[in-house]
Amino acid sequence: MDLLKRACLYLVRKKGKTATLLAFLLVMATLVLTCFSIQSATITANTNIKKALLGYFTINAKHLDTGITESVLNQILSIDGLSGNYILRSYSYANYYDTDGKLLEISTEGAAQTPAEYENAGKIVASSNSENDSYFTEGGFKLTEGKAITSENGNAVLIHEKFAERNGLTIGDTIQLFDVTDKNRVTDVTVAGIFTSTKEQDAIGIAPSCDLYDNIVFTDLATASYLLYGTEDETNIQFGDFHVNDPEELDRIMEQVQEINGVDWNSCTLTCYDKDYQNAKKSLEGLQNIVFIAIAVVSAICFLVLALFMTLRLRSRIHETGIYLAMGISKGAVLLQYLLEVFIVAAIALLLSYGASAAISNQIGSRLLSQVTAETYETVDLTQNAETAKQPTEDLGLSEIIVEISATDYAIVWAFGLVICMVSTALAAYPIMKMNPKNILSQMS
Amino acid sequence: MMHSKTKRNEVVSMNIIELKNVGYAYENKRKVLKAINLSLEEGKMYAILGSSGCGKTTLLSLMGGLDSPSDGQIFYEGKNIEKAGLSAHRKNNVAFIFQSYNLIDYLTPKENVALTSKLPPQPILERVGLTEEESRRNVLKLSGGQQQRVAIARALASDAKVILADEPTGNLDEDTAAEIANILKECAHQMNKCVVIVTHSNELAKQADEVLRLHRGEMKMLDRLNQSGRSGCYTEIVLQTYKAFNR
Repeated sequence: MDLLKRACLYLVRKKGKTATLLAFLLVMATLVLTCFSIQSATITANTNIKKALLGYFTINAKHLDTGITESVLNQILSIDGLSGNYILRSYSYANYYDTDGKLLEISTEGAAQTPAEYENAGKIVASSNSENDSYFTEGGFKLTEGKAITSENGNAVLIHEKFAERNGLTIGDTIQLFDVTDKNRVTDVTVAGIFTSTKEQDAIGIAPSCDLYDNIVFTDLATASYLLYGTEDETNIQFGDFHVNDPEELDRIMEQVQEINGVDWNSCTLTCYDKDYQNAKKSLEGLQNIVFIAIAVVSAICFLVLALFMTLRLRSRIHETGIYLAMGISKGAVLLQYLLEVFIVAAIALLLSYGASAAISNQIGSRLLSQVTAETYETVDLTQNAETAKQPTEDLGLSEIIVEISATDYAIVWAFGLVICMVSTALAAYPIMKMNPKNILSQMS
Repeated sequence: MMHSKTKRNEVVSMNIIELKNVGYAYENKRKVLKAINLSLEEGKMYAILGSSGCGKTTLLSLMGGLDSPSDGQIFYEGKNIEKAGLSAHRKNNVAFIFQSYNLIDYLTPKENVALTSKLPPQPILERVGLTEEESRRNVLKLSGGQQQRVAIARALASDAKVILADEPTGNLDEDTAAEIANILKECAHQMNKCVVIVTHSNELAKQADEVLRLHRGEMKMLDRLNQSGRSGCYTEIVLQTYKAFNR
């Protein structure tokens, strides 16, 4: 009779012992697999947070005539690690006229006192891409009609719906922007889109009329450059947001930016924005550490308990071992039979643990992650908007995280579980196998 | 068959197991066997008598390769069993029958017999008196006598030339013990096995061809029946001699 048959017969005939071992291994495998899947989920969460809370830095000119030139911009964009997602912005002020030269009416409701030359003016915000501009992405404004402003569609503007309503403007209409200085710069622009503000202006009652949301006009950088400098050629850009692929590399990238020649850092500020990411990362790292410790502790306990369990199990089989040895079955073959039994039961337990762990880890993992992300969100406050603040996981890209068992984790647990089973069985069998058959038979009697 | 022919064409049994100056001491240095010299032949049943703790089972263990002697050598068919390998010796040359049967409790009689043999187990089990139905039961659901028959069947199935039986009838009633004794005798005489029995039972010893006594670590021959005397019973004289030795 070969040892595989003996092993199978033992497992089938000793149902109670087999069931006990199976239950024991199932619990262990489920625990370890659950820990592994939660750890994987935290890694995914970390990656998502990196994507959601992209670190970025800004360059902000202190004066209208300073900032970064196109040459500097190109040098910045050539730095390794930038995501390619960047926003450039310039600010100016202009009076608005229709094509007949009639001054367009702006809102003055709730405005503070405004300097005389700005009484009829509004704020011009020039953006390299209004769609990705934080004015629109972070909940301040929302495009309701038309299309966004990009560097490609020059001489186009986005106007506030109230400004449009007040002056009977629609998409496709042309208006004129006059600079507020005495330089008489004027440019014709077409209304490309109409936006609305989604939150009340914080500075209402303090802001002059030219800074009121209703009077803001978004346009492209070239148009703003003309209003500011009288040329559409290379000019200074006052503000730049540069997003990086990995917030961990932000410091290195910023150091490289500071080394670029041609930037007067006395008149520009370079600011790092990764606090959100760091806060989120801290919370997730805490969870990752807990899960890592849990894996280590569970593994160690599993090994010790399994070794003890196998010692007791094999001690009850000294009699059987003695008989086999007396019949000339080698110690190796006897040990192999015991290992094979544990291997078969462990394989079944590992198969079953997949289902058990999938159910448990999804419950526990989701709960842990939501707890962590809630903590994270308290400090992140991405949007400054109470409405969206209720759904932090969506903003952080965590709502899509499903705590599931990956093939790699499952393979690791298989390998790890089988090694633990084999080693603990071999260790438990060692004292018996060390004895000579006569001593075993003496113990039997 | 380990027989050779002499010049006069007589069939002479050859020694299958031979002990030369075999001694054994426990770990506490107490010597339990002293310079035992013994030759055992095929086709004979030997009984080893002796008081408890005199080393009978140890002697059987040494012959069976369960342990190694402290001194001396043991030969199987002229080869040193330690050099050939004790595990191989146990697997190929000897079979054990124990007082407590020592069957694998999760196997049926058939499966127990099949442990060491590729022969069909049922004919062997029937030969020792087990029915087909009994052969399919769990061994723990058999009586003591039936279990011992399974143990004997297992020993026979192994095809070993030497059967070492340690108190094979110790747990059995008289009738069953007598039946087991007959089976063992058949093993020796009809199947040409060398059967060595360690026993306290005079009744079992009566069935043996040769009776040996172990006393204070030394072996004494109590009686040797001649070849023609196999069918006869053990004489009262032998028993008296044994009693005299005990005194």
